[in-house]
Amino acid sequence: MSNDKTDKNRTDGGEDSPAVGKPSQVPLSKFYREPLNALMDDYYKKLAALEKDRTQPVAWITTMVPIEILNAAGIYPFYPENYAALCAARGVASDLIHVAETKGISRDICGYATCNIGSIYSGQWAFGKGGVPMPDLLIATRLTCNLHLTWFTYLSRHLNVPLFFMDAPYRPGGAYEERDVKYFISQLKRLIEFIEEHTDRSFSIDKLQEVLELSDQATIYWSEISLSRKETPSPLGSKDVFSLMFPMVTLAGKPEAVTFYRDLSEEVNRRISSGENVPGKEKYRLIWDLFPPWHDMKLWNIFDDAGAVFVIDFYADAFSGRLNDPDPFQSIVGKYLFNPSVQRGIDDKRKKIENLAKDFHLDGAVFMSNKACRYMSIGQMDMAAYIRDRMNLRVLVFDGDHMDPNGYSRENVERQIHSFLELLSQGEG
Amino acid sequence: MKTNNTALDKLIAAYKNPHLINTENRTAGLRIFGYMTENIPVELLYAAGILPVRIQSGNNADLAALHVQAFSCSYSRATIHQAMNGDYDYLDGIISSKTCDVMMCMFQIWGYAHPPNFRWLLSLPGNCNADAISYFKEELLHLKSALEKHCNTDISDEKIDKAISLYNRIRHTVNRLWTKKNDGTLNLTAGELVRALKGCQVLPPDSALQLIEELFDSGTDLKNAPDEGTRLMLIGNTYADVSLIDMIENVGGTIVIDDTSSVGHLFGPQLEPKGDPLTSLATYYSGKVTGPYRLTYEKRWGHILEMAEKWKIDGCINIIQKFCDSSLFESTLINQSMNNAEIPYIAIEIDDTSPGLGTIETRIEAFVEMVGGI
Repeated sequence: MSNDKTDKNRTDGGEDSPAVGKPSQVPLSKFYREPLNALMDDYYKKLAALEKDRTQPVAWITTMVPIEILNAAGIYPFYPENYAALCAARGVASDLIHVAETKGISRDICGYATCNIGSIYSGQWAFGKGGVPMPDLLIATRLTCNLHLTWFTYLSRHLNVPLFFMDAPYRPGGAYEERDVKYFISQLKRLIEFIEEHTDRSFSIDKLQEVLELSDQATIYWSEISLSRKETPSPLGSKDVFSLMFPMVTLAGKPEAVTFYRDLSEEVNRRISSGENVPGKEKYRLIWDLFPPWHDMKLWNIFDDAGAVFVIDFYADAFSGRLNDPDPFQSIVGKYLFNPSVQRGIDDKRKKIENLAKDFHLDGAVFMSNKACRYMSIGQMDMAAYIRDRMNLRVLVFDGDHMDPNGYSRENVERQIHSFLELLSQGEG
Repeated sequence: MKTNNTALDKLIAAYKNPHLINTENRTAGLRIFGYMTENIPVELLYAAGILPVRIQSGNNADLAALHVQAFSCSYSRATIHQAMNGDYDYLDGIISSKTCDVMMCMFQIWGYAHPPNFRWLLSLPGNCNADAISYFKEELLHLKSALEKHCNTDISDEKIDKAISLYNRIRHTVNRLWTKKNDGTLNLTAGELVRALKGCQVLPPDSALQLIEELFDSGTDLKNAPDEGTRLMLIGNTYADVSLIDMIENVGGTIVIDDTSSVGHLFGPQLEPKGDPLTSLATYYSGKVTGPYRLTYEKRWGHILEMAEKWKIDGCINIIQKFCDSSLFESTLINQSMNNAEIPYIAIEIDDTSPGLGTIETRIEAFVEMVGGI
């Protein structure tokens, strides 16, 4: 993969890619792993460099803060949530959560927050000491869970860093009104004022438009990749998607993200059109609800071994969204306020899953009932009942925790998964 | 418990039997709406001819297990249980607002458990600046139109003004009741007053006002020297079991004000008119300090400190529903602020559906002793 959009010599497929037209089971990860790692390395190296030499302001932001505004202002964005997931994947989250607990912060609270606070107190991050610069700005939004407000308020007071709290309306059915849009745009403008007030950066709408266009291009390619999962077999599963989301989340509005997704989309399309995407081990097509247990990604091997592939989830598209309105603020409204994956209620999700079941030929659904994420987990019981009783599909709901291995019984989860796979093998629910 | 005070008896009867009383009210022709959160402009409902009643917690959540995981707070689960049990069948409508994550889900699950004729979720802003007030006023305008259509009535400014005036009289009287209880001129325990105020929340507001005014008048001008214990303020979430209050007072604490979601948040400060009635309501309810899911910490702590000074407290107890992550998190901040203000503080986690007060009693007793010894 190349970073040059016009590079005719780019290594489509690379060394690991099979010859065109030759059926192969070479996993797609062989194609994307190296360039993806390069993007991540580059991001984290630049982030770490800012710890020593603050050449640009650093903002810590919550999920769904419009990152394009920060990129347009020349602010380096850092998502503690994504980073906490990395800590969990690297097996250090549990210790960090414990550090937060010793500071009086309950273990019942979302591990994204407690892991982050544990890092601040201990100085230990995903790769050891340091690597993450303290913020110049903190920006939280009410677009997703309420804990963001309390968590970032805690950070603001502990680190003595200014906090902007971006408010957002809420319509569980997605029927946003004109007043909602007007209010949300007022929040975007206040965010820009906040950035200008607390940094030496001045804001350019032209630059914002440029960043939005790049973010939109990445979204187009990402949507193509997501929709390719309708194919049987699916060229990629949720485990791939959880890795592949990094540029979509962290590098939105950057040219390297566009190049990455363009190359990946072309490779996916090539595999499909050349017949390389031949049926293999895919026996069952499933939907995964939200984020995975980051501390136990090996869990996926159980599904893989049984030929159970997650061909869709509610997570992958949460960070994408077209940004093609001539008015840049309306574009941001479209991506963030109208986001179909967050800011929506149970009824809306039920309708969505019904359509997904048809489009993606689903056999079943898996929900991790995540006690540390009440925002996304409450409502799963009704969703599961609907899928099982009305859609006649197999459903698994298991107890878990996206960050904390102590809130998770691997043995029990494994047993439940095996039972679920056994039921899947017996056909319809 | 004393039973020779007619007004108190009636209020406590309402607290004990809200469903029985409101089933009768419904039969008598009243249109009743349930509201879940403390930022609902009840004045607007009342102006539409609706009786607004607070949806309260309970001590059983068995039926809710069908819809909600056990890691949801007991308030949410207990209300779903009651809805599924038919206890709230008298409700014509339910109304809630964007507050905590769980309550937003609960609003939707209520729709499955007990589909009412009218459901409305107010998009309550998280701020209270000019943009937020303007937005919330528009939101209230839409609610007003929907209520007018549903109730086939006209909600005039005059009706809203009258409702504001009525609820302000209730707030004023409740404030005076606490004062009178605390200075010993009203022979009432905090547990009795809290029960009475919970009863108020399920009665027609004009009847509630009459009863609390009677209760106020039942006091004596002769000031008894109150056997004053350690002056405590309650803050935090809603709670079902008022025996918690009795227990605190039995171990030597004196609750001088309850500013929790159960009581205080519903009888908060006076609504000062700001222009037209809808602007007044929008300003008041967007600026009202309730749970930790909105407004800046500075504003929220400012309110707590103001209350602490007003009621001259010796210590503060934060009642937190188990699994209320925002409250748990905010408690660490409140703890720091209380330390700085040199106000003894304790946070206790409760579960309305767990029988008995368990280890809470030991912790409270130790806290009261500690505060009393300072």
